[in-house]
Amino acid sequence: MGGAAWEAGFVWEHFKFNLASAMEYKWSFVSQVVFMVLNDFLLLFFWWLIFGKVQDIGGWTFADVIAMHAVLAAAYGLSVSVFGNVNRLARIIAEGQLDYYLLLPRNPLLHALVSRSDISGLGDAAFGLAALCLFTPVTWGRLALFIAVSVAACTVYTCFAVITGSIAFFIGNAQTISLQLLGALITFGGYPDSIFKGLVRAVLYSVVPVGFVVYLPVSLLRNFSAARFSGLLAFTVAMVWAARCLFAVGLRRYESGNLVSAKI
Amino acid sequence: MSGVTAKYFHVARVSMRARTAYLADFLLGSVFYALILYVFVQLWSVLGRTRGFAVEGFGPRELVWYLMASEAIMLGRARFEQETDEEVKTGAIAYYLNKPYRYVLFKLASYWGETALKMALNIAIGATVALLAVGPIRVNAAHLLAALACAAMALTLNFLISMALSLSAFWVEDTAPFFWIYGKLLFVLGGLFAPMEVYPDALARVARATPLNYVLYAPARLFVQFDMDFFMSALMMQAVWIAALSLLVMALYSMGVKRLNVNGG
Repeated sequence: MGGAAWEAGFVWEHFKFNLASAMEYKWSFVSQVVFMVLNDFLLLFFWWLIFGKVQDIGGWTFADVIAMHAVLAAAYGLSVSVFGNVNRLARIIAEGQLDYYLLLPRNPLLHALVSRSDISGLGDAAFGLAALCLFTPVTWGRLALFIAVSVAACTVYTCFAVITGSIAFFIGNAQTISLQLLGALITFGGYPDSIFKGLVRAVLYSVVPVGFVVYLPVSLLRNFSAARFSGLLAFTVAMVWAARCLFAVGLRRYESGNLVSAKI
Repeated sequence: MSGVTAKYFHVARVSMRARTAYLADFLLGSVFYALILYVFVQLWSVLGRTRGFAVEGFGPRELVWYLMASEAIMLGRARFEQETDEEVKTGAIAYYLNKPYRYVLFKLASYWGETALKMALNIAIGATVALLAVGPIRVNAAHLLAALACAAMALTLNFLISMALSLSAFWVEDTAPFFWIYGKLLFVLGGLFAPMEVYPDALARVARATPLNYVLYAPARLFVQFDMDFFMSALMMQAVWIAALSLLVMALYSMGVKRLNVNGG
């Protein structure tokens, strides 16, 4: 437990430092956050048009679709703002940039992930919270559940990104395939699962775990069940374990790079 | 071909060849486009079976082909804005000033080289996915050529809007947020996912008053439902917007370079 608290403190200190650094450029900071909130709200426009014509899509109402976008944005936003290198891990590995983290007395995976923040992610997270509160029925209990499922979804997304990024240990340049898989997760996560059938639906609950990042959290917000919530937590823990193991196995194959770069 | 035209044509050719240098990477970039089409094939087929969902003149098949065309343009646009933003912020744009070409025309030629290639690939992939998913739509060669001409004007219009936003880097720290909003405005007022016929009347009127629906909606609608009157009016409005935005880009560029400060070598 002491180790987990120590790592959480390490993540928090890095996040504060990255935030302070980004705030030095005030226009850039404010515009990234505010415009991202606006950007995300405009995403709902399409669904507003569709739900102006139909009551539901395969059982999903407009409120469910808003909850879906809220969870997806909050999970993604938290991930990229706290673990800012999450989508760049394949490149970091392929270019030999892990060297820097391996020389320091910290968990290299965690250190690599938190050493950068994508500030626009704060806009995504703010949108998630605002959309849920503005457009869906909200109580303190539902709000707490939203935060809990968003943190779990963020963890699953981050671990999936680590797994796809770690492919670089085995095949070299894996940036394109990693970004395509992450892009697939985000793309599918923006549409109700009721439109997908058969094999694709199975893939969305396994190979590309959109089901655990978006669909299961939304189903919990619609209708809470302790069993399904436990299932989400169990899957989250399994993903953390799988991501750490794959990274550790890959790290044994890691070859240092000779790219000269300065880290300030 | 005159010397001036040949020079920019060569720039376009170099840009095209640069994109194909990493062929696998270039082809994988189209996976996202195929994915979006697949998702919408599923969505429109579910909505097509839902009571109350009807769009004047568009069935599920037409909606899929409309999206194939609008997304081909949306994802076929070369993304030069980050590069231009960097060139302005770092002062690297100064290195273009003493070259025997005009910066904006150089960028336009480079944009078209990459865009033409991406569009050709997107049309091939999109047509294959749409054919397999929903079957063909009726379109003749003359209408197809007209839609392509409208798409070419649309992509030029997009270049000018993007260039105007990029040149704002002379005055602001970061232009990326402008492009997020531009992308979403294309989505909302440009009719990316659905034609204006789906929109409430008041919103459709607002959208038609902006240049954005001439970037996506006009060419995509002409491809799916050709109409000579609409074609002529769309082409005329595109020409008007291109002229107005060209003047704006020239003004922004000439004002911007006067503010240019370059430190170091």
